[in-house]
Amino acid sequence: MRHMAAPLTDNRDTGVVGFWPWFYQRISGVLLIFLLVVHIWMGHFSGLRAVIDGRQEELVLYSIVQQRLAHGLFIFVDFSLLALVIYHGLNGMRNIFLEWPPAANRAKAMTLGLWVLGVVTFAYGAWALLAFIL
Amino acid sequence: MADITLTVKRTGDTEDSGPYWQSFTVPEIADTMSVLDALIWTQQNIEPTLAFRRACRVKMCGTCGVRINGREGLACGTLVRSLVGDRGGEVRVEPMRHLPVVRDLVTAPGVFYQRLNQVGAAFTPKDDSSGPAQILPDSKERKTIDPHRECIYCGLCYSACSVAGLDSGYLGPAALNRAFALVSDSRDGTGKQRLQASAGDHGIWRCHTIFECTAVCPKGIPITEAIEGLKRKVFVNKLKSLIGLGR
Amino acid sequence: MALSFKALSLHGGASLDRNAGTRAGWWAWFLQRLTGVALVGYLFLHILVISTVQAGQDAFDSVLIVLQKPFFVVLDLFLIAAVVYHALNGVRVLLFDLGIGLKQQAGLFWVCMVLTTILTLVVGYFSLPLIFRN
Repeated sequence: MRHMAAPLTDNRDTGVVGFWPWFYQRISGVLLIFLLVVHIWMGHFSGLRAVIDGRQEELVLYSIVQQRLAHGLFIFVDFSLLALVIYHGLNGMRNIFLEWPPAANRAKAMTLGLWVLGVVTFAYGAWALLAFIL
Repeated sequence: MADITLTVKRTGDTEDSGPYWQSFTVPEIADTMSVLDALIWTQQNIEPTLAFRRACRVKMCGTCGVRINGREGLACGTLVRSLVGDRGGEVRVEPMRHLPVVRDLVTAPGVFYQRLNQVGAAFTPKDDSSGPAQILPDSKERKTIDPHRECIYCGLCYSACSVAGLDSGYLGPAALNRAFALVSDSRDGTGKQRLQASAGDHGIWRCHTIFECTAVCPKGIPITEAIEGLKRKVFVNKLKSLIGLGR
Repeated sequence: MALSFKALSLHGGASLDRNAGTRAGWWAWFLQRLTGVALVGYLFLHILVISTVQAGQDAFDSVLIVLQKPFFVVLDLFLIAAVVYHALNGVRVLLFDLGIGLKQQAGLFWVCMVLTTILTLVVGYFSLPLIFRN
């Protein structure tokens, strides 16, 4: 019975591909639907009538963004959006990398690399948002 | 009745030569001719060295799995007329994917069986011998498991699965379908280990619900449903352990 | 006797399961990955653009004025299409994870495609004044 080698114990779960990334991808995805609807509406549609009628020059300008980000609700929306979309996007990329041997064979390092990229990107984006708030 | 052109992907003759396609003109022996019939006719009348597996010829044993016109299928169960109508045409046959090719259409199934072993494909009864198990025919358990019991281990799902192509260690649809059937069986004693084995690095979390397995299964097994069922089981267990109900 | 050969054998004798033989699931996955990667690329571009605010209010405004020209409004429609498809198919996958709709997976894919088309056309319609203003 040479081929009946150690069933059930051969599957080392190093926690690399696991439940939590799968779970959080769905959580973040659902939250992103709501956050993106608010973000896109506020950014690109709430002033549309004014722009078409000529009362407002553009939909997006510094002054307009600054006005919006003076409200706590939109500060919350934009920061949450930034964090969740970076997580969701990079987690998605991770799934793709896990099916590409050069990255898959260094899964832990690749995952760490993506986390670093994510944190740096969030910090950079938050710094940009703060310019409208402070 | 029109002739068909049977084009088969064959292994090169020497170690260095790659695979090549060879075409044969095959008469339509009957309007219910299968791809297997065409292969056998070719082997008997034109090319005795043509290599392919077959046994029962009635879609029961799962031996003759191949790819026909780019799609996985049992050679015995694919009627030529369903591919080219009654006017003849080309039928392209190549070996299943994701398994080593031994020769022509013959693949080595070792890896496929190994994946089944990794989830423990054999039923293992519980230790307590408190009489025969009673699972009534119209019970929820029976209805959950029944669609998944029909597997003939033909390997077509494993061949069709894009994830199996991208991750050579992926457990694959057949193994996970079997794991689901046994994990759902209240008489089985190794459900916990099986679930754990299914949820490892190359298990259920790699399934992206592409449905290629379900699309090609000759027994119509809803394989993707089995894998999704396993994911839900793990989720519920995690929830239970977080709330403190334990397993 | 009119035997329906297609019904008898769908490339291997599959049952009359509506999921037999369809490539819809593959297209859904492929497009999910394609839009996902495109959106990650767009995300980094977007953060870079917004971060021009750190160079001053006027720098930000001059960039944003260019990015609201008709050419970019049209590009934004492709972005909307990508976001809408990715979100809708994401919901489709979530339904599968909840055990809903697996037997209708191909049909659900087509629903995603149709809804994406409709919503993109609707957004396009409302964006027409922005594309054709002088």
